[in-house]
Amino acid sequence: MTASSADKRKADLKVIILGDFAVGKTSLICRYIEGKFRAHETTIGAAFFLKQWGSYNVAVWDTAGDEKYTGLQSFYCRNAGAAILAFDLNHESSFESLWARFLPLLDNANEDCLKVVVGTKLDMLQPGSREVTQEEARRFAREINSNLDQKKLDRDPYFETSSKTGMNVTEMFEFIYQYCLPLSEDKKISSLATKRTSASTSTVDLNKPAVSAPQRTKCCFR
Amino acid sequence: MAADLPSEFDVIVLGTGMPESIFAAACSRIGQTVLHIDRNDHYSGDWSSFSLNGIQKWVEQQKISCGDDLELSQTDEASILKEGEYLLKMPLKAHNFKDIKIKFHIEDKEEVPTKQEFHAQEKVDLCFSEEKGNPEVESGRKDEANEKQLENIGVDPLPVDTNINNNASQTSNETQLQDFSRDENQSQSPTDQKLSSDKETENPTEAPYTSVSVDDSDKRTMEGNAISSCEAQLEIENKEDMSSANENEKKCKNWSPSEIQKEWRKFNLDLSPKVLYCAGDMVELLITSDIAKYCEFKTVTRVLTLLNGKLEKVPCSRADVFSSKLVSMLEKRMLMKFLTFCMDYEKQPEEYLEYLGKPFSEFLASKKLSENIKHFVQHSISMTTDKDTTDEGLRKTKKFLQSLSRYGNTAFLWALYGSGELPQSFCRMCAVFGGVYCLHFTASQIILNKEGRCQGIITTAGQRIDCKWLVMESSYSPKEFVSPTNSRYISRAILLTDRPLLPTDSQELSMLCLPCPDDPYRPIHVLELPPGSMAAPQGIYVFHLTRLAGDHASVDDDLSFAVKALFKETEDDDKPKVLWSLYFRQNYTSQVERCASVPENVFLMPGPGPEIDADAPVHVAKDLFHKLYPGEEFLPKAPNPEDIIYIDNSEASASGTNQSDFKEQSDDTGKTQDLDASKLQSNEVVYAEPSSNDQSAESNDQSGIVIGSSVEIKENAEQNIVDK
Ligand SMILES: Cc1cc2nc3c(=O)[nH]c(=O)nc-3n(C[C@H](O)[C@H](O)[C@H](O)COP(=O)(O)OP(=O)(O)OC[C@H]3O[C@@H](n4cnc5c(N)ncnc54)[C@H](O)[C@@H]3O)c2cc1C
Ligand SMILES: Nc1nc2c(ncn2[C@@H]2O[C@H](COP(=O)(O)OP(=O)(O)O)[C@@H](O)[C@H]2O)c(=O)[nH]1
Ligand SMILES: [Mg+2]
Repeated sequence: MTASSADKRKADLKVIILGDFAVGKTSLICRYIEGKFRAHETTIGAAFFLKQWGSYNVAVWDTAGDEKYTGLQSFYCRNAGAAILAFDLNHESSFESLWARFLPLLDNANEDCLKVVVGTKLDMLQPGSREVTQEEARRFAREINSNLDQKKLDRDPYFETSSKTGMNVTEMFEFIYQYCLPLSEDKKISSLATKRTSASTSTVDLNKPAVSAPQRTKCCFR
Repeated sequence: MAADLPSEFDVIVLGTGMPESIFAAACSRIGQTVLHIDRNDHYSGDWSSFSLNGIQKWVEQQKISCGDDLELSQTDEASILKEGEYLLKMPLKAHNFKDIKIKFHIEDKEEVPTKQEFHAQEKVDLCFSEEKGNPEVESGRKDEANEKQLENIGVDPLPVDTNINNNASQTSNETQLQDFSRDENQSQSPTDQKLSSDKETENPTEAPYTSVSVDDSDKRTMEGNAISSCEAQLEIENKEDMSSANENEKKCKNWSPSEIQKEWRKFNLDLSPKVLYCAGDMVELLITSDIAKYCEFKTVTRVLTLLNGKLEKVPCSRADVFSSKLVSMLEKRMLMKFLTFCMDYEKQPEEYLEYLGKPFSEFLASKKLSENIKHFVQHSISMTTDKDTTDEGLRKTKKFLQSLSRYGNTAFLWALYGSGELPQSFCRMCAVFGGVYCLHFTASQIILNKEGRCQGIITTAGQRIDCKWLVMESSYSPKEFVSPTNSRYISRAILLTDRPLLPTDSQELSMLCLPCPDDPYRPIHVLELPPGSMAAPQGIYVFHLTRLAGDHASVDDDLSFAVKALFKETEDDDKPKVLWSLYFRQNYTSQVERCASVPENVFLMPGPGPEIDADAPVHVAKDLFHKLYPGEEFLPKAPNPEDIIYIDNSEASASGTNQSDFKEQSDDTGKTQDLDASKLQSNEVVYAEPSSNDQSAESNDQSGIVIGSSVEIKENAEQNIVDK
């Protein structure tokens, strides 16, 4: 691994996605990352992807299929700056799962984690097939974010997307970045600094032994 | 939900503890199909870390006598079993813990309770009477022994604690808003920011000796123990005078139970806290398998010892030895010489040959080390007792010294959020490669055939699932499988305090090995976790006490020496005050010896033992893996999706080379299994080893593999599969 890759490996923002099995989480991420709809069978995804947005590295985590039969690991949500709560517009039960199963998991995310509610498979809506109204989803999105700075939220964190047509997918991710990542460089430093004070300051990168150590320490007993 | 699992797996693993999780990940990694089950509703089993509410719930669950919380479906044996097969019942619940005592040592302030609190209290009582309707819970509570224990140490009966807990969570909705706004104010002010990082800085002059390499973006907020540049040091010195003003105010808050309870989310309390030797096998595995990237680590910043009744910092590295005021000039020479010898002791066998098999302490005595130096080496560096042999002592000393210089002036690492994160990170690796997970679910019976070989399991949902190998944490196994003789107990305590051990340093992560007068062969290991380790909210410190249980003593007796020596006894000493405590005894099976009755394709794994570190489970998992899959690589580096950076509109130059990478990859994983298309997708086509001869890595100064237009790569790679 090159030195530069080691430096780059830490992400500035962790985005996770939660939601019932087969609501279209992996498709959504693929559409965004690859710009393409993969009509794949439900697959087991990569652990996470890194996306560059301006000078930032954003890690987008997908569930690893481990949610199919059971809860996710608490550590999936650790330190997440934004969580996408995905449900299928055509299945009310997937909407109910969001607060029943997935909101509790977010205890492990950042306290100020942005929660974006996303209704998926917009293209599959037929007249009469919609099971969750825009209004109730919007209200839900507003409520679960009431702890956040409302001035920073310029709209309700609710989107209806289609991974097939690409409708609203990029917009949704852009919204997350606009909220979570400060635009100018100097703001970046202070804000990221505060974000990370509690958690990841001065944690050890196991791949980087203490090469920069002062000489005296380096020669310990060698 | 779990009724529709596939009906066959290569490997079924019961228990998501450390060795099971490592093993499951290793199997999944080479393409074996893995079903990984835990009867608990949380990952990591007895290795878990809990929030405060979580651990209170766990205490309640331990009292439920059998796995009644698991619903058990009836099975029609005749229709499920094939000819000659028979069933063996599995226990649904483990009894790994006993003597559990949980208690707040402080009382709520005598402020007039708000209306809201009253309200909540009523509601909670209601909840409780409901719960009492459940006969199991009630009988658990009425357990005589249990009640006596509670009386003995004047513990509030549990329901009270739980009251507070519910109370807090019910009122938290209202209070949270305030909290958030306060937190935000704090974190948005740059001066506050500086102050807080400053307060964490211990002694600026010592800073340059510690050297944890950190990520650039972190430098501004680094703590004293992580300074690696002069620039950073300067910053700290500048800020120094600002800190003292704030010191007193911050020092120790007067906590009340409800205030602590309100912060329940911020606790990560370990059932089995384990540190990692920097040069140990766990760290090695985390790096080679690339699982390290799922977790974050802190350094254990110092090793302490109790010397003549006083807490002292043990000089470990050369820098420490030279700067320590505890050792005289003569002793410095002595210690340096001895430690230098230990680094290469194998090369000088004549030095210790006659002491092989004899106690390490005898060997130390023969070296004419002073009492202080002997104490440091024996209790703090090698952490041995008088029973440990010279071979063992030398080996441990060397391991400690080797670990010292790797990530700075420390021999140990601590996983941020607790060591319960480690099994989970292996589980995630397993899931990423297709492992199937089921929690709160287990095997109710094992299916054996005529020859006594295991054919599979019947799940608690009544489904038959076949497997080639069945691996389980030993407490999952039928009683006939384990010999009772090697079962022992560990005495544990988790204490929350209002301040650190030594008044000056608020963010030190310390370890301490305390030999006890009542039985020097069983020292107490103490681990001090500051808020920065994410074990507790600001202002609260977590202490883990661990000791092999004595034969006749109670858990309190076992640990009282440390509690008396380290924590507040009278109002006016300034030792840490214990705010909350949890004591328990944990069963462990030192070696899981195979009984003759264990089927040849069934394997048992040990639960957490008394060791301070996490290297043992790595060996257990690795040994079993090599036994079942000779010739296969144990957790090779995963193709690293983190090295794939997606950039909008950049040239698609990477595609050509990645194909070959992918071929290698699929050959690798294909050894043991047919490659069906979906599997291949699961191993993610976009993966590519950054180390390979990759033009894109050279042509672009981005890290790892840069994929301009990943779509193309995918297509190419998929074609690649089809061609095969
Ligand atoms: C009793 C004694 C035994 C010694 N034994 C050895 C030995 O066996 N092998 C050896 O290589 N050197 C040894 N030294 C160190 C060596 O002799 C010099 O001290 C070293 O070369 C540094 O010289 P200096 O004048 O640059 O630093 P000084 O001005 O002497 O030291 C300034 C401070 O730096 C620290 N320091 C000095 N040297 C080191 C070091 N090597 N590692 C960490 N911190 C240090 C000390 O805390 C000291 O207070 C020993 C020193 C003493 C006093
Ligand atoms: N028409 C349509 N189908 C979709 C959409 N999103 C996902 N799907 C399909 O829904 C199924 C499940 O998607 P997947 O992403 O694997 O769900 P996950 O389990 O949440 O990751 C797949 O068959 C997808 O093709 C969408 O926006 N439109
Ligand atoms: Mg998926």
